[in-house]
Amino acid sequence: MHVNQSKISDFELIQNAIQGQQYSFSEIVRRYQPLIATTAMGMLGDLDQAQEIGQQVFIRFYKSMNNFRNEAKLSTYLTRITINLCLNHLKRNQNFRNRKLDLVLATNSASSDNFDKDFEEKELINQALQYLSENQRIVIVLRMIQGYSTQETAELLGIPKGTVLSRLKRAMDNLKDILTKHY
Amino acid sequence: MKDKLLQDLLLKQQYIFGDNFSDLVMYSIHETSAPIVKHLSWFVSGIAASLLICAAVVYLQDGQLNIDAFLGISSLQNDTLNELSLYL
Repeated sequence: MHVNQSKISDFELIQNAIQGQQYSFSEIVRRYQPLIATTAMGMLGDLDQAQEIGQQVFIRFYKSMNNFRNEAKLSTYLTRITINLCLNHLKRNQNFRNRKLDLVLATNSASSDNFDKDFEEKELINQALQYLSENQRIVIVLRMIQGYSTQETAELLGIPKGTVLSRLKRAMDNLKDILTKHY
Repeated sequence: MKDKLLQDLLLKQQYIFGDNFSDLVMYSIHETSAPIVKHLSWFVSGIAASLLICAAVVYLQDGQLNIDAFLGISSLQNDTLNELSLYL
Protein backbone atom coordinates (compact mmCIF):
# COMPACT_ATOMS: atom_id res chain seq x y z
CA MET A 1 0.00 0.00 0.00
CA HIS A 2 1.27 3.52 -0.84
CA VAL A 3 1.60 5.72 2.23
CA ASN A 4 1.47 9.50 1.69
CA GLN A 5 5.15 9.93 0.79
CA SER A 6 5.29 13.64 1.68
CA LYS A 7 4.83 12.79 5.40
CA ILE A 8 7.66 10.26 5.55
CA SER A 9 11.04 11.39 6.89
CA ASP A 10 14.08 11.57 4.61
CA PHE A 11 15.74 8.69 6.40
CA GLU A 12 12.70 6.41 6.01
CA LEU A 13 12.47 7.32 2.32
CA ILE A 14 16.13 6.41 1.86
CA GLN A 15 15.65 3.10 3.65
CA ASN A 16 12.62 2.33 1.48
CA ALA A 17 14.54 3.32 -1.66
CA ILE A 18 17.43 1.04 -0.68
CA GLN A 19 14.90 -1.80 -0.40
CA GLY A 20 13.86 -1.11 -3.99
CA GLN A 21 10.83 1.18 -3.65
CA GLN A 22 11.34 3.46 -6.63
CA TYR A 23 8.52 5.84 -5.70
CA SER A 24 10.38 6.59 -2.44
CA PHE A 25 13.40 7.72 -4.44
CA SER A 26 11.10 9.75 -6.73
CA GLU A 27 9.78 11.50 -3.63
CA ILE A 28 13.35 12.36 -2.56
CA VAL A 29 13.92 13.85 -6.03
CA ARG A 30 10.66 15.84 -5.87
CA ARG A 31 11.46 17.06 -2.37
CA TYR A 32 14.99 18.26 -3.08
CA GLN A 33 14.93 19.28 -6.73
CA PRO A 34 14.22 22.98 -5.93
CA LEU A 35 17.29 23.07 -3.67
CA ILE A 36 19.49 21.49 -6.33
CA ALA A 37 17.99 23.62 -9.12
CA THR A 38 18.61 26.86 -7.21
CA THR A 39 22.18 25.91 -6.28
CA ALA A 40 23.10 24.68 -9.76
CA MET A 41 21.48 27.68 -11.48
CA GLY A 42 23.31 30.06 -9.16
CA MET A 43 26.59 28.37 -9.95
CA LEU A 44 26.13 27.78 -13.70
CA GLY A 45 23.57 30.38 -14.83
CA ASP A 46 22.08 28.08 -17.44
CA LEU A 47 18.97 26.00 -16.86
CA ASP A 48 19.86 23.19 -19.29
CA GLN A 49 23.30 22.73 -17.74
CA ALA A 50 21.80 23.01 -14.26
CA GLN A 51 19.27 20.29 -15.09
CA GLU A 52 22.03 18.04 -16.42
CA ILE A 53 23.98 18.53 -13.20
CA GLY A 54 20.77 18.00 -11.19
CA GLN A 55 20.31 14.60 -12.81
CA GLN A 56 23.91 13.65 -12.07
CA VAL A 57 23.48 14.69 -8.43
CA PHE A 58 20.54 12.34 -7.93
CA ILE A 59 22.15 9.51 -9.90
CA ARG A 60 25.28 9.84 -7.77
CA PHE A 61 23.18 9.87 -4.61
CA TYR A 62 21.19 6.83 -5.79
CA LYS A 63 24.43 4.88 -6.25
CA SER A 64 25.83 5.90 -2.86
CA MET A 65 22.74 6.05 -0.65
CA ASN A 66 23.78 2.86 1.13
CA ASN A 67 26.63 4.89 2.61
CA PHE A 68 24.41 7.76 3.73
CA ARG A 69 24.36 8.15 7.51
CA ASN A 70 21.45 9.78 9.31
CA GLU A 71 23.90 12.06 11.14
CA ALA A 72 24.09 14.43 8.18
CA LYS A 73 21.14 16.39 6.81
CA LEU A 74 20.18 15.16 3.36
CA SER A 75 19.91 18.77 2.11
CA THR A 76 23.52 19.42 3.15
CA TYR A 77 24.71 16.15 1.62
CA LEU A 78 23.01 16.88 -1.71
CA THR A 79 24.20 20.50 -1.72
CA ARG A 80 27.77 19.29 -1.28
CA ILE A 81 27.45 16.90 -4.22
CA THR A 82 25.92 19.70 -6.31
CA ILE A 83 28.74 22.12 -5.55
CA ASN A 84 31.40 19.54 -6.41
CA LEU A 85 29.74 18.63 -9.70
CA CYS A 86 29.21 22.30 -10.61
CA LEU A 87 32.87 23.13 -9.93
CA ASN A 88 34.00 20.17 -12.07
CA HIS A 89 31.64 21.26 -14.82
CA LEU A 90 32.91 24.85 -14.69
CA LYS A 91 36.52 23.69 -14.90
CA ARG A 92 35.75 21.62 -17.99
CA ASN A 93 33.73 24.33 -19.77
CA GLN A 94 35.44 27.57 -18.72
CA ASN A 95 36.30 29.00 -22.14
CA PHE A 96 32.97 28.12 -23.70
CA ARG A 97 31.05 29.59 -20.76
CA ASN A 98 32.80 32.97 -20.93
CA ARG A 99 32.03 33.37 -24.64
CA LYS A 100 28.42 32.34 -24.16
CA LEU A 101 27.84 34.77 -21.29
CA ASP A 102 28.81 37.83 -23.36
CA LEU A 103 26.42 36.74 -26.09
CA VAL A 104 23.50 36.30 -23.68
CA LEU A 105 24.10 39.73 -22.15
CA ALA A 106 24.12 41.40 -25.55
CA THR A 107 20.92 39.69 -26.63
CA ASN A 108 19.20 40.40 -23.36
CA SER A 109 19.92 44.11 -23.19
CA ALA A 110 18.64 44.56 -26.74
CA SER A 111 15.26 43.02 -26.05
CA SER A 112 14.73 43.84 -22.38
CA ASP A 113 11.41 45.63 -23.05
CA ASN A 114 9.80 42.29 -23.82
CA PHE A 115 10.60 40.76 -20.48
CA ASP A 116 8.30 40.61 -17.51
CA LYS A 117 9.87 42.80 -14.78
CA ASP A 118 10.34 40.04 -12.18
CA PHE A 119 11.70 37.62 -14.71
CA GLU A 120 14.01 40.29 -16.07
CA GLU A 121 15.37 41.14 -12.62
CA LYS A 122 15.91 37.48 -11.88
CA GLU A 123 17.72 37.00 -15.16
CA LEU A 124 19.91 40.05 -14.64
CA ILE A 125 20.96 38.89 -11.17
CA ASN A 126 21.57 35.43 -12.55
CA GLN A 127 23.87 36.80 -15.22
CA ALA A 128 25.61 39.21 -12.86
CA LEU A 129 26.40 36.26 -10.58
CA GLN A 130 28.31 34.62 -13.42
CA TYR A 131 30.79 37.53 -13.43
CA LEU A 132 31.90 36.71 -9.90
CA SER A 133 34.78 34.33 -9.22
CA GLU A 134 33.67 30.79 -8.36
CA ASN A 135 34.72 31.21 -4.72
CA GLN A 136 32.64 34.36 -4.30
CA ARG A 137 29.69 32.94 -6.22
CA ILE A 138 29.50 29.81 -4.05
CA VAL A 139 29.34 31.92 -0.92
CA ILE A 140 26.57 34.13 -2.35
CA VAL A 141 24.57 31.08 -3.49
CA LEU A 142 24.81 29.27 -0.16
CA ARG A 143 24.60 32.20 2.23
CA MET A 144 22.32 34.71 0.47
CA ILE A 145 20.20 32.57 -1.87
CA GLN A 146 19.90 29.24 -0.04
CA GLY A 147 19.89 30.88 3.38
CA TYR A 148 22.51 28.68 5.03
CA SER A 149 24.06 30.25 8.13
CA THR A 150 27.67 31.44 8.04
CA GLN A 151 28.64 28.42 10.13
CA GLU A 152 26.85 25.98 7.79
CA THR A 153 28.38 27.65 4.74
CA ALA A 154 31.83 27.37 6.30
CA GLU A 155 31.27 23.66 7.02
CA LEU A 156 29.92 22.97 3.54
CA LEU A 157 32.93 24.60 1.90
CA GLY A 158 35.49 23.42 4.44
CA ILE A 159 36.76 26.94 5.13
CA PRO A 160 36.87 29.11 8.29
CA LYS A 161 33.89 31.32 9.18
CA GLY A 162 36.06 34.43 8.81
CA THR A 163 36.87 33.49 5.22
CA VAL A 164 33.16 33.06 4.45
CA LEU A 165 32.45 36.53 5.84
CA SER A 166 35.29 38.23 3.96
CA ARG A 167 34.39 36.48 0.68
CA LEU A 168 30.74 37.41 1.20
CA LYS A 169 31.62 41.07 1.73
CA ARG A 170 33.79 41.17 -1.40
CA ALA A 171 31.19 39.26 -3.41
CA MET A 172 28.35 41.61 -2.44
CA ASP A 173 30.50 44.66 -3.25
CA ASN A 174 31.49 43.17 -6.63
CA LEU A 175 27.90 42.24 -7.40
CA LYS A 176 26.75 45.79 -6.72
CA ASP A 177 29.53 47.14 -8.98
CA ILE A 178 28.64 44.72 -11.77
CA LEU A 179 24.94 45.58 -11.58
CA THR A 180 25.64 49.31 -11.54
CA LYS A 181 28.12 49.08 -14.44
CA HIS A 182 26.08 46.86 -16.75
CA TYR A 183 22.48 47.72 -15.99
CA MET B 1 22.19 49.91 -5.24
CA LYS B 2 21.28 49.41 -1.58
CA ASP B 3 22.25 46.25 0.33
CA LYS B 4 18.64 45.50 1.27
CA LEU B 5 17.45 45.64 -2.35
CA LEU B 6 20.27 43.35 -3.48
CA GLN B 7 19.51 40.88 -0.64
CA ASP B 8 15.84 40.81 -1.66
CA LEU B 9 16.73 40.24 -5.30
CA LEU B 10 19.09 37.41 -4.34
CA LEU B 11 16.39 35.76 -2.22
CA LYS B 12 14.17 35.67 -5.32
CA GLN B 13 16.77 33.57 -7.20
CA GLN B 14 14.83 30.37 -6.59
CA TYR B 15 14.47 27.82 -9.39
CA ILE B 16 12.81 24.49 -9.98
CA PHE B 17 13.31 21.95 -12.72
CA GLY B 18 10.26 20.84 -14.72
CA ASP B 19 7.46 18.64 -13.40
CA ASN B 20 8.85 15.63 -15.21
CA PHE B 21 12.32 16.03 -13.67
CA SER B 22 11.89 13.10 -11.27
CA ASP B 23 10.78 10.91 -14.21
CA LEU B 24 13.90 12.00 -16.11
CA VAL B 25 16.09 11.09 -13.14
CA MET B 26 14.45 7.69 -12.71
CA TYR B 27 14.85 7.04 -16.44
CA SER B 28 18.55 8.03 -16.29
CA ILE B 29 19.09 5.76 -13.28
CA HIS B 30 17.48 2.90 -15.16
CA GLU B 31 19.63 3.67 -18.24
CA THR B 32 22.88 3.81 -16.28
CA SER B 33 22.19 0.50 -14.51
CA ALA B 34 20.91 -1.25 -17.67
CA PRO B 35 24.37 -1.80 -19.31
CA ILE B 36 25.41 -3.97 -16.34
CA VAL B 37 22.34 -6.16 -16.88
CA LYS B 38 23.10 -6.30 -20.62
CA HIS B 39 26.73 -7.33 -19.97
CA LEU B 40 25.54 -9.91 -17.45
CA SER B 41 23.08 -11.45 -19.88
CA TRP B 42 25.81 -11.64 -22.57
CA PHE B 43 28.11 -13.28 -20.03
CA VAL B 44 25.51 -15.93 -19.07
CA SER B 45 24.61 -16.53 -22.74
CA GLY B 46 28.32 -16.96 -23.54
CA ILE B 47 28.80 -19.55 -20.82
CA ALA B 48 25.65 -21.46 -21.90
CA ALA B 49 26.77 -21.46 -25.56
CA SER B 50 30.27 -22.69 -24.60
CA LEU B 51 28.79 -25.59 -22.58
CA LEU B 52 26.49 -26.56 -25.45
CA ILE B 53 29.38 -26.55 -27.98
CA CYS B 54 31.52 -28.54 -25.56
CA ALA B 55 28.72 -31.11 -25.08
CA ALA B 56 28.18 -31.39 -28.83
CA VAL B 57 31.91 -32.01 -29.46
CA VAL B 58 32.05 -34.67 -26.70
CA TYR B 59 28.95 -36.39 -28.12
CA LEU B 60 30.37 -36.38 -31.65
CA GLN B 61 33.68 -37.85 -30.47
CA ASP B 62 32.38 -40.47 -28.00
CA GLY B 63 28.81 -41.11 -29.16
CA GLN B 64 27.62 -40.72 -25.60
CA LEU B 65 27.12 -37.90 -23.17
CA ASN B 66 28.00 -38.78 -19.59
CA ILE B 67 30.50 -37.68 -16.96
CA ASP B 68 33.22 -40.14 -18.16
CA ALA B 69 32.91 -38.78 -21.69
CA PHE B 70 33.24 -35.23 -20.36
CA LEU B 71 36.34 -36.22 -18.33
CA GLY B 72 37.81 -38.06 -21.34
CA ILE B 73 38.07 -41.44 -19.55
CA SER B 74 35.12 -43.28 -21.17
CA SER B 75 37.46 -45.40 -23.35
CA LEU B 76 39.51 -46.62 -20.36
CA GLN B 77 38.65 -50.00 -18.80
CA ASN B 78 38.39 -50.38 -15.03
CA ASP B 79 41.53 -52.57 -15.01
CA THR B 80 43.49 -49.87 -16.77
CA LEU B 81 42.32 -47.41 -14.19
CA ASN B 82 43.44 -49.74 -11.38
CA GLU B 83 46.86 -50.11 -13.00
CA LEU B 84 47.17 -46.42 -13.44
CA SER B 85 46.32 -45.84 -9.79
CA LEU B 86 49.46 -47.84 -8.85
CA TYR B 87 51.59 -45.05 -10.30
CA LEU B 88 49.85 -42.35 -8.30
